[in-house]
Amino acid sequence: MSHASQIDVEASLKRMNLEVEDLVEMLQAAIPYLQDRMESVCQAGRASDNGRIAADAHAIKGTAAVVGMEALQVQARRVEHVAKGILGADLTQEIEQLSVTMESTLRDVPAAVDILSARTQSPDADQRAPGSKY
Amino acid sequence: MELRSKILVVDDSPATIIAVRSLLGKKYRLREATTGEGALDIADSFAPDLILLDIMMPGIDGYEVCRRVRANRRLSHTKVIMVSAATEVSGRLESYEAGADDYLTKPFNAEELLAKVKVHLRLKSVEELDQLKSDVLELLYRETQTPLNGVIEATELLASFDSMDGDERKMFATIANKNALRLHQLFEQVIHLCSLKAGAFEFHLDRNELAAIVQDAVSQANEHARKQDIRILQKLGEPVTLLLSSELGHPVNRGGRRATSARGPFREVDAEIPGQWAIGRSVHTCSESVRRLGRN
Repeated sequence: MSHASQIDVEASLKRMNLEVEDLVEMLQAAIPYLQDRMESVCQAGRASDNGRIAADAHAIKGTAAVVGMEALQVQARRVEHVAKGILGADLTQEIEQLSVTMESTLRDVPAAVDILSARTQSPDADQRAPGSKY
Repeated sequence: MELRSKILVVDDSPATIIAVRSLLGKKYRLREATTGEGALDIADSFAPDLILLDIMMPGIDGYEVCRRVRANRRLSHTKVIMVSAATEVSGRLESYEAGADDYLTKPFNAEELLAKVKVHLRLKSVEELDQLKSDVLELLYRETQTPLNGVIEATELLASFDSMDGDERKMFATIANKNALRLHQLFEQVIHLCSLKAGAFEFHLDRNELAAIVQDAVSQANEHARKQDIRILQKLGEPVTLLLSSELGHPVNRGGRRATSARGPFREVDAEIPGQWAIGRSVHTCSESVRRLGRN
């Protein structure tokens, strides 16, 4: 039922002791927020506005961490650190990589939501029990 | 009885707000804000016991929100826990410098969040209790001097002069009695205030005609005011002075004259009086407050 994915739903459910419905709601709410932030990072990148890049990458990192999008969290942290000058790397390439990671992560959201939703509809489902990594 | 603590959650990330709502929503009264400006607006009216405050937000950031909360006397006991995805020590230090009480890293652990919230709410209660004790002691010290002296002096005179005639005895006995009654009244008010602070009263939000309440209060106060040559002016529709028995404080008359003789834990509040006003049942104490001011 699961496939290789960028969203560790199990970790989020466990760490935050969430109801499955809440995580579904969080994932759905996270999509437009992350997309807006990614757009903002790209705009700031074109304007070479490193302060804004760092701020938006930080925001992506925070939301990604809360909903269990590990790969996105890691790449957002890299972009934030490069933009702040903590890490030496090509900022443009890092932003491009963030965009790729974002795309693939968000592609996994509907599947994760479907599987979580199916769990809530199953009469035997333990809604707070950890599930698979979707 | 509504005793649940009030928590303001501030984060521009909807996912984080949903997570916090899921964890705390059933145990506490929650309000949510997605910007620093919105948080300050809500904090002013909601007077939260605790604020969970994101640091990096568009507009005013969490540090600045925290500083402004700390500068707001009404929120002096409000606990602030900064919540951020930043793990660097510098972020924590800046939070504490801004006046935050604690710091939580995203992604937070449910148990840690709940434990911190619980601890800080308990600390706030203890601090408020300490403050209340100090206020009550100060109030008693300040307000009991005059009536106590009245009782002592009148009873000493009664005891000292055997030759006093009946009218004189009656006069001093009346003075002692009046002052004793004032002391009794003061203690009742202090007990009332402590009960209020302890949440022993049930408050319900209700819609009332504030103008009618003020009219009623002024009518009651007028009788006492006339005896003291005090004229009470009513200007409905314009800012008026209301006295609400909600906090310890010193009532001050308009025009700068200090109403030192006004008894009780009353606070002066300026308020516009619209046609309708959602206000708690406690407003009935307004009439009592105005009556007392008139008496003094």
